[in-house]
Amino acid sequence: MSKYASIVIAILVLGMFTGIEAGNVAQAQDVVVQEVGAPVMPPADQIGNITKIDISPQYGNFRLQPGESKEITVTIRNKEKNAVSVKPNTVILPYGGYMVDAGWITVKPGSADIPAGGSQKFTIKAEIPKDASIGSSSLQIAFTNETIPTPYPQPFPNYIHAFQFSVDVWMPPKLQIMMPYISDQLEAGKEYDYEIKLKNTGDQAIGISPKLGSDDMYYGGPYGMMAPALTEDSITITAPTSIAAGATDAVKIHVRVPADAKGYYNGYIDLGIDDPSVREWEGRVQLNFNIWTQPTGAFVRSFNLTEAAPITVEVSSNNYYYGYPYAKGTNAKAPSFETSLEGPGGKAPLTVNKTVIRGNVNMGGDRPPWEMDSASIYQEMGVQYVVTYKTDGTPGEWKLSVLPRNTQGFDYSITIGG
Amino acid sequence: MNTKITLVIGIIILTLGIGLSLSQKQPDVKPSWVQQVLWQDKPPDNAKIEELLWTEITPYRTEYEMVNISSDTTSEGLRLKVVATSKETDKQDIYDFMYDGKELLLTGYLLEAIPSQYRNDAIAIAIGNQEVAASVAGAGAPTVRRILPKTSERFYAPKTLLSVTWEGVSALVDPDERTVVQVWKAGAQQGAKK
Repeated sequence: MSKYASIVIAILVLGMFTGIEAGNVAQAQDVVVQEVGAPVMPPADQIGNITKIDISPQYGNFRLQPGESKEITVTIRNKEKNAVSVKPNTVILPYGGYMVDAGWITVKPGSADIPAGGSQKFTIKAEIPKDASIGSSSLQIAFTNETIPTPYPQPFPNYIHAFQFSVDVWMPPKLQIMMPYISDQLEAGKEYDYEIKLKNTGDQAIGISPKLGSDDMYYGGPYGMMAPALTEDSITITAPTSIAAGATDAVKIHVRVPADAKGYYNGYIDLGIDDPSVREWEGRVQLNFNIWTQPTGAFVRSFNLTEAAPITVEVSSNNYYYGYPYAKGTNAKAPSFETSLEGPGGKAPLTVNKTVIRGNVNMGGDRPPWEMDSASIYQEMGVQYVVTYKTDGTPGEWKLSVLPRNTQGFDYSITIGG
Repeated sequence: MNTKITLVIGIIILTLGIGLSLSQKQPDVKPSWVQQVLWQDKPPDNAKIEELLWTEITPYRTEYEMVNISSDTTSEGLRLKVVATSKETDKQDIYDFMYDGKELLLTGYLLEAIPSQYRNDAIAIAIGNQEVAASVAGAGAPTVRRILPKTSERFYAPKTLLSVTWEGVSALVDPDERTVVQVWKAGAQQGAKK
């Protein structure tokens, strides 16, 4: 081999390994930075003295079963012109009564000096012991001890540079409730049946003892404080005493709506599940009924025709918001109309000219303030059924009759001619 | 071995070396909760955008099966629409971003990819509130949307909340505490704090 060629190869090979090694050196430097024990930033006395650092991401949620662990990497970017020292501090917020143990949370490195314009990654790890009980807890990892100054003492400091996260310790319930709510529109004087299916995924039978919830049932509706439309004896529950291992069974609900019932019923069925992995509220099925009296007589509108002309009648339901077809009750129905037109010669043959399903796409209209960030993104807000009828009209008195079903209001128009 | 062969071998080694070095510096940043990423009109700095994106978006108690990113160059910068889907629901998470070459700014979102058990649970919590129940009885199924902490902190606390909305009525639900934290009714000035 030529002497020069050997030298070139040697340089190239050396260059390659130098490149790889350079990466390792960078990592090693990271480790060195991580080991620096640095003083923590003093509290900000005024809001203007806040240290400019970015935390990304700012929020997280861990949903873990006992015995599981999970990590998340959080990057702190220093936007100051000077180096900044940060030292993560785990703060457990005792909202809701359940608290994780601070020892379950580790943050590495324990502190760091971040040069001006630089960044540092921190790994936050949650390890849930096998014997941990279930519950949810809110935490903060405060990277500095700077807090938002407040005129009054606060129960917990409001840290400015904090990663917010929650840890939800859970166990999959062995008894699965297929539908945790029943929401329906019921007609006075009728009877309805519902089934709450329960599936036991465990290897042992699980006992149940369903009963109707007995919270204070008076509530404010559109007409002020009202008694519930249904009483306890209107709802009958039939259920097995236990669900066998691996089996699916049903709790049956029979609702008998009195003929004079009006208004609303809002309650729940406590299934009384004998399983410690089910939290009290998880064993409930919410009931929400609107007692609706279907009008028996039709709405009537009279009008006159001075000369023979075609008559077009358009009837449309109120906008209904992903309405009854998606409801979970057995009473789910789309709006419909019984329409007739009577003229000087008796009932006119009324043919459905067209049926229109009209959508309403919203990009920033009336919506809750917490959904304002969805403005400019297309959303279908509701669907309206429009039925158009046509007939040939003769001069004289005419009467339009409309009997609506499954809608709490409707619009109509009568077009003469054209 | 003649000089030419030696040089060719050298170049191959150099190429391998560069490739190895590059692979060391550009690890795959796709998080474990994303199965597949699909770009429409891939911009040149797509890798950097993706890296920033994974710190901005996250699925709700599920994984994203597909993250579809489309870009559109405007006078203000690069407009990105991210549509993420999950196997556990037929609804989507939609995020709108602006990218100025350095930072990714979330300009809007509509997050409905919520697994059905959490969606149903949120509805059950909402209609467990009597004020909500009285307003929505028989009103059909609501929409359930995730509200990100940056938005929620203006109404309750900086944490993920769920908005359960019927026409004209909405309940802001804290799924961890299982409570309705605010109720909004169309026409009222603002949500009523619970």
